[in-house]
Order: sequence, then C-alpha cells, then structure tokens
Amino acid sequence: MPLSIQQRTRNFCIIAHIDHGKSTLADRILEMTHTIGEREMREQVLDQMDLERERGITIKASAIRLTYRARDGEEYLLNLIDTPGHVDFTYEVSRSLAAAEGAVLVIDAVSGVEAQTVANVHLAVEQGLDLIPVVNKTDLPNASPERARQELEDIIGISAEEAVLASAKLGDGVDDVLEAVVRRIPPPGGDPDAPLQALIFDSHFDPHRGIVAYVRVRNGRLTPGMQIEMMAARRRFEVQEVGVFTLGLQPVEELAAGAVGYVIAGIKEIGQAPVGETIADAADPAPEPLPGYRPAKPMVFCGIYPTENQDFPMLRSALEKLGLNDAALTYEPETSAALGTGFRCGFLGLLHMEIFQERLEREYDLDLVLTAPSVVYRAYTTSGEMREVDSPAKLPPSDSLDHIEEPFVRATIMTPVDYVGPCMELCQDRRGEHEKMEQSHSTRAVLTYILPLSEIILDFFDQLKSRTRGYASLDYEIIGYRDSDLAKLDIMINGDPVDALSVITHRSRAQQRGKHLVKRLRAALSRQMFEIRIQAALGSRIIAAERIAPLRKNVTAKCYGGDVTRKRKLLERQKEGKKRMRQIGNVDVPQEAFLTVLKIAD
Amino acid sequence: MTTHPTALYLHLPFCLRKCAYCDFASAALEDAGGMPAARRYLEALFIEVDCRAMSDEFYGAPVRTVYLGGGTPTILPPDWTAELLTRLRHRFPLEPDAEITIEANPGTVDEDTIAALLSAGVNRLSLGVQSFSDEVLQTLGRVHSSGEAREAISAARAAGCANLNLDLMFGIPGQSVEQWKDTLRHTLDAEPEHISLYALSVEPGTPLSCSISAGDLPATDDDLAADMYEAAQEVLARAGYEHYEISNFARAGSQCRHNRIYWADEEYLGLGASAHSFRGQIRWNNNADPGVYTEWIGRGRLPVARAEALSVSERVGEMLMLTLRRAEGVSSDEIAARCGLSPEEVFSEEVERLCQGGMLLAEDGILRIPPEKWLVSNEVLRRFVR
Repeated sequence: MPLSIQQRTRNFCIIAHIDHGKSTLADRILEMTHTIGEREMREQVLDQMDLERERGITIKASAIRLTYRARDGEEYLLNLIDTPGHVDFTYEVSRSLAAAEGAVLVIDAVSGVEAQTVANVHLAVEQGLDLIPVVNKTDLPNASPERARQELEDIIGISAEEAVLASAKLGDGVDDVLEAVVRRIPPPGGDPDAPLQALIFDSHFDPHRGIVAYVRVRNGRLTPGMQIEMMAARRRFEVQEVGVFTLGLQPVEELAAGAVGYVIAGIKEIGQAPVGETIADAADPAPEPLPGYRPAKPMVFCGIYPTENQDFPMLRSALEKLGLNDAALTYEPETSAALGTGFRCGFLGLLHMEIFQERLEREYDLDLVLTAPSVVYRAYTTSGEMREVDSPAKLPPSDSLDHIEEPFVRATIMTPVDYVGPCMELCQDRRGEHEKMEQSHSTRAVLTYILPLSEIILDFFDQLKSRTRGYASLDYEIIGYRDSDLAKLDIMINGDPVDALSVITHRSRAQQRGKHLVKRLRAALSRQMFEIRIQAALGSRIIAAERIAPLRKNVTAKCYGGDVTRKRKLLERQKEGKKRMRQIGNVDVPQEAFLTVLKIAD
Repeated sequence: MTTHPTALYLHLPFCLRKCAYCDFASAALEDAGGMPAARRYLEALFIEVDCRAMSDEFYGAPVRTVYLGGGTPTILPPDWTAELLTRLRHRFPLEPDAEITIEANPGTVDEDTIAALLSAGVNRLSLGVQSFSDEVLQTLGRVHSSGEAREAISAARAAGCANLNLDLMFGIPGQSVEQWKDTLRHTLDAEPEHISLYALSVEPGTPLSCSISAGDLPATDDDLAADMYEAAQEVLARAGYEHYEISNFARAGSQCRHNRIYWADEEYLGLGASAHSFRGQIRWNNNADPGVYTEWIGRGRLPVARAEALSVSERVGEMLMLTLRRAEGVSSDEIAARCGLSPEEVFSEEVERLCQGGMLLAEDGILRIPPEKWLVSNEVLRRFVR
C-alpha cells in the first residue's frame, strides 16, 4: 500500500549557535532537492531581509517545502522551518519548534558546542522533538569533528554515533542529513478527520492581502471558504486561501493534519492572529485549543526619538508598518523635555533593538536618537502597590517608594578554560552570583551565573567577547525578579534635569555611571555665554559634577577687503547650527550631544 | 554722471610666498607666473578701472579713499603703483584729501621704496608686522623677521610717513601672553598712528590647520586669546589709543577712513581679482584667481563671479552686523532711513532679548555692543542673519 501524504511528510527545523552554518546548510538542502534552480540560487535564500544577509543572522523564522526522493525510492515532502540563531530570539525559536517533529542540530566542527547550542537543545527537548546532530564545516583545516562529537556526549548527552558529518559549504554529507531526516524524524501525527486545530507559529503582513498566518495543522483540515475562529480571541474569519511555502506562496486545495502552510483570511492586524493562537473550525470547534507557548514579552525598553521633531509622523508610520511583522515589538508615545515626542519601545533584547533601529534608519531613512536601554523594574510603593517601570521617568517619587525589584537571569557562559578567570571577573563586576562551573572532557568550561538582566543589556556581550578573544559564548534565561538596591540617577544641566539621560541603576554602580555620563556630556556641549554646571544626582545628593567655563571668544576678526558676504555666511552657519539645538533651561544642547552621550558602546 | 562719493579697493594678489594661515585670494608670485604675469594682471586691472570709471554708476564719482591691498602690493615695483595711482586720478575725481593706503610687508620695503610710494600719492602705510617674536613669526610662516619689521618701521618714519598702521595677530598656537605683551611693548615703541589686532582664525586646508591636526602645533586656546585681547585693550588704552572698532585702535584723528566706510555699510568699488563691491542693493565680487581674472578681462568679459541683490531684512541685518563693530554703534533711525525698516521692526525679539541679556545696549535710539562683549560679538551678530 502506498504511503499517505501524512506518512510522507516530515516537519523539521534547523537549530544552531550563531555562525555555525545553519543558513548555508539550508541553502544546500534547497539546491539538492531542486527546490530552487541554480539560476535562482542566491546565497542563503531563507534570510530574506538585507539586514539578515549582512549581519549573517537569521532574525525571523521562515519556512519552505521541499520534495526529496529518498534512498527507499519514496518521494517525501519536507517542511523546513528556519529559526533565528541569537539569544534575543529564543522565543521565535521555540515557536518554530512547536511546528515541527524534529530538529537538525548544527554544530561547528571548529568551535564545538556553544551556549546557544545547549539552549536550543533544551528548547527542542522540551517540545519533545527528535534531534539529528550534524557536525558541520568538516572541510576547514582546523576542524576537529571528534572533539565536537565528544562535546555532544559530554555536554548535551547525545550519543556521538548519531552525529552526521557534513560540509554544507562543499555539499558533503547533506544527502546523509536528508536521509536522517526521513528515517529518524517521525511523520506528523494527528487526525485529518477530527475537528480542526491549527497552530499559528509565525506571520507576515502583505499590504494587499493582510496577515499571512503561518500554520501547522495538528488535526482536521483547512480549506478555502470555511469559517474559522481564533480560539483565544474568539474572532471569526473566512478563509480566502490556503497554501504551502515554495520559493513564494503556492495555493493548495487544503491543508490537512500534519501540514505546514499558510492561511489568508482577510485578517487586518497582527493582534487578531497572534502567534501561539489556535485556529478552529467555526462550525465544528475543537473542544480545546492547542497548548500555546509563552507569549513574547519585551525585556528591553528604550525611547526612540526622531532627530528632527517634524519627522515624528514618519516615525509613527514606520513603527506601525514594522509592527505588522514583529509580534514582539511594543511601542507607545512618549514625550521628553529634552528630545521632544517619540516612542517608548519594547524589545526582546539588545540585538532586537539594534536591528530594529537599523531597519528604521535604513528602510525608512529616519535619523534617530535612542535613550539608554532599560529593563522592566517592579517598583513597590509604600502603599503596597506594584508598578512595572520600563522607563526611569515612570519611577514613583522616592518618598512614596518602598523598594524596587529587577529581573535576573541565569547566564550560561561557555569558554575555553584559559579564559575562566576573565569571565568570572566580568560576572562579579556585574553583580553576578556564581552558581556552578563544569568542565567537559575537552578544554572548555561551562560557567553558570545569576546576573541582573540590566547588567547584561549594556555591553556585557561585547565585554565577554573582548575578554576571551571572541571564544566565549553566552546564553541566558530569565529566572524572575529579586529585590535590589536601585535608584534613579538624574543628570542635570544648571540644575535642570535632562529627562532623556536619567537611568535606573544599582547604587554600587551609580557613581561610576554618573561620572561617565557627566564627562561625556561635558565633552559634547559647547561653551555658552554663562557657566554650565553638569551634575549627576541620586535624589538630592550630587555624586558627580563637571563645569564648562563661559564662552570668552567668538569673534570675526576682520572683514577683509569688504567681503561682507563671507562674514554673513559664517554667521549663518553658526545660526544654522543653533537651530538643531534643544533648550535645557537656558542652555543650548545640540542633538549630537544626546547622540554621543547615549551611544551604548563604551 | 554721479556725484555719489565712493571708496576704491584695488587688489594686488601677489606675495613672495603664502603664509601658513592664509586663505585669502593671493598667490606666490613665482607660482603665478612671475613679474610678466603680474604686469599682465596690472594691465587688466587698468582696463577694469577704465570700464568702471566710465560706467553709468561710477562716472564722475568723487573718491574719498583708496586702499591698495593684497597679497603684498609692495613686492611690485613702486613705479607700477605710481602708474596705477596716476590712472586712478585720470579716471576718477580723487578728493584732495583722499586717504590713500597701501599694505606692505616688512622685508619688501626700504626707505627709498616708501619715499617713492609717498611721492606717488600714498599717505597711509599699513605694515603687516603681526608679531615681534621670531618664534611666532615662524609659526605663522611669515617671510620676515622681527628685526626686519623694526627696520621697515624706521624706514617708513625716515621716508616721512605720518600715518602708519601696524597689523598684529594674537591667539597663535604656542604664543604666550608674555610674548604678546612684549609685542605690544615693541608696537608702542614705534608710536604708530593706528594699530589693528586680529585674532588668528585657523582656516581649514591651510598648512597651519594641517600642522595642528597632525599634532605638530598645539590647538588655539580661546581663553588664552581672550586674555591677550584684554591685555591689549588695557595696554593700548593706557597709551592713549582709542579702541574704535572690535579689531582697531587709533590715535585721535587717525582712524582708518577707508575701513570706516565698510563698517558704516556705505558703498565701495572693488577692482582686481576677488575684489568685493557694494552699490545700491547689490553686492558683487570678482573672480578670485588672478589668471582667470586677467584672461576674462582680455576676452572683454566682466570679471564678476557673483552678484547678489539684498532684501530689506538682509540689508538691515548686514548693516547691524557691520555698524555694531564700531564703538559708537549705530542709530536705529539711520538704519531705518538707509534700509527702509528699523532694526526694531525686523529683529524686535532679538533686540529685546539681547538687551535684556546685557549683550546689547540701547540708549537714546543708539544700539551698541558694550566693549566687554566685543570678543563674543558673534553671539550678538548671529541673531541678525536669517
């Protein structure tokens, strides 16, 4: 008896630490299955955004269907779901995994198991997926596949024999990977005749057709014309089109249990079909929704302001458009005395924030000022009320403040043993609490620390990389809130607070941060007709100060040979410069001052 | 035919070599084609003199002042200067007491040349001394030494020059306040009728600017420059010089009449490469390259590179920008009469705010910047541009 479509279907993801060759492997698979011809072959087809291509990071998950004739002579339908490879996007990884039965775990034969490898394996195991370890980049001269296999056993606990050796770059072993997918990953379960249950695992916005929801059908069938209901939101839509992912979208007659595909149903907003939602048949609803996964919760917040105030409407419309494709993004209008009107935006992490900023600047040609990133604090007032504080401006006044809690993470750092010292130093410097250290058979150690998230979002990753010559890798998970000795640090110019520069900081770090900020601000301001005092204050206590002496000379010496025009142009330039200034009290502060002071690096 | 008096500026762009800070329209004579090129330039200048003198706007205009600037006009033979002045006399009615200034650099003049210039009609000599410190002169890339400056001064006096200006510069990288005070002492010893003090401005692209960027010279220090300016104000006031304009000091009756015409925002005619002119509502300037200038004239083409008609508010702004450089400031009525609108009408908010801040004084219809704010006068003047 021939195998059914369901029996010939395999749904799988590729997971990997960043740079371990996930996208290259995906490309080879597409080539070998003739999913795309050589002519269409661009490097790394699945990374659709220019930015992804440039940075070499997958940001958004995406999916594609391939057909593969296996060695048993059968033709299989493989749904490959690509996943992001950065700690910020763990959430996106987990939702992609929810659509699959198995995962190809790519490990770099040179660098071995990394922190993100471990984290992804945990996620995959949690979802009950079968794993196919692939040791990649075996073509490199310094490749050490044996060590990578050893680490698989030591750190991850997967038998080394299961690992497939491959060089995605050369195409070696890719065939073996596909065979393993067919043989080791089970076909999807589910009953095509049961009531419909389909999980939304991603979506994108099409300006003409609305939301294109990416679904995994668990039970039942999805067909055009049927009425569907979003089980959590209780909203109904009529299905206009269903289809599968080829290089584009390819309509099909139905998506049945086990299928991965898309649904278009006149859905206007991403909020009406959020990721994790279960689609049911409105006429014959399933008794209960599928287990959703934890919703994406923004962890890092910052203010985003246009450099020129008149660009605010452009910024708003850009946020609205990008928000259509980014379920994890939150934003609300915010006003700053220093920066004008902008938005308070929430992100999954610092990389998410940076990428978002780049997209705004590049795709929408906006000049932006970003305030220092902040985590979400919990402020408890003396009356016992708890407030979530995602901006220093929202911190209740100190007289009504009882205590503040901040989010903590468990951070896993993998490093060559030679760099254990510097890593521990960094963690201690960042208020870290040592939990444990393990050493694998190879020469690498796994450090576990409890750290405040706020210390990680500043420049922790850069510091870690520079202290370990790039060898250490980092992963972390939020473990909850803890009481912390925190305070709001205000920066003042001639006694007037500059709201955009306020930060919530641990008291032990306040002095250092205050000194740093006033110094940078001093360097960014030009002299004016009066003395400028720049101060950092914790409440009413000044903890750092700088002064700028009054301007003593701004004169055009001579007006040579009656060249009045030259002199006028000079004054015009000076005046033009002043136009881009903000007034803090009576002090002119150039936009560039905020830009330089707010730069995250160093 | 007009009876409207005017002032003439004639540009002679050649130097022995260019100074390290200079970004004016000038060139080393050798690079510009030597004496033959200079002569061709002079012939072209004669033609521009002829054309302008015979034009509707300037025919018959009485000339009150003549200023021969550069470059270094005195590297040309004195009889060429005499020829030029004769030409001017033939073409324009020079007033009998017209002020005729020539710029000169130490090292390019001796008693004989100065005597020749005086007998050709020059009655005011402006010497580019800049400093009496050899170290500072070297930083500036000047061709002369302090000794040569002293010799030039003696030569001028010996030749009978009774109206002598010394140009000085301050705020020079590496220059100390002591060095500056020493220069002031030497200056007073020479008893010049007039002294101009210019704060060095480092122009991008000049060798001086490059040396500073490369770290070979310290950057200029505004506080030090301010100290020097204040020291000069004190020393020169005590010596009886009147500080009548931001950068200029004079003994009674010896203010520079030609420059006062600029600062009064009155009309002038500039002739030669890069020269600027102002007449009616229009400012224009000639092509700055002496070679191009010569060529254009040779082809029968006006050497004008650019002209600009000013609006009323621009006129008011420019008049403020210029007249407020003077100690006496300006009367609002005069600006209203000359431009059609008063400063209070065009810049009411700015004037009010500046007065409140003590940056501007308004008394009896006169606006002026108090002397203690002169060194930051751009903070006032920039309010008057659009």
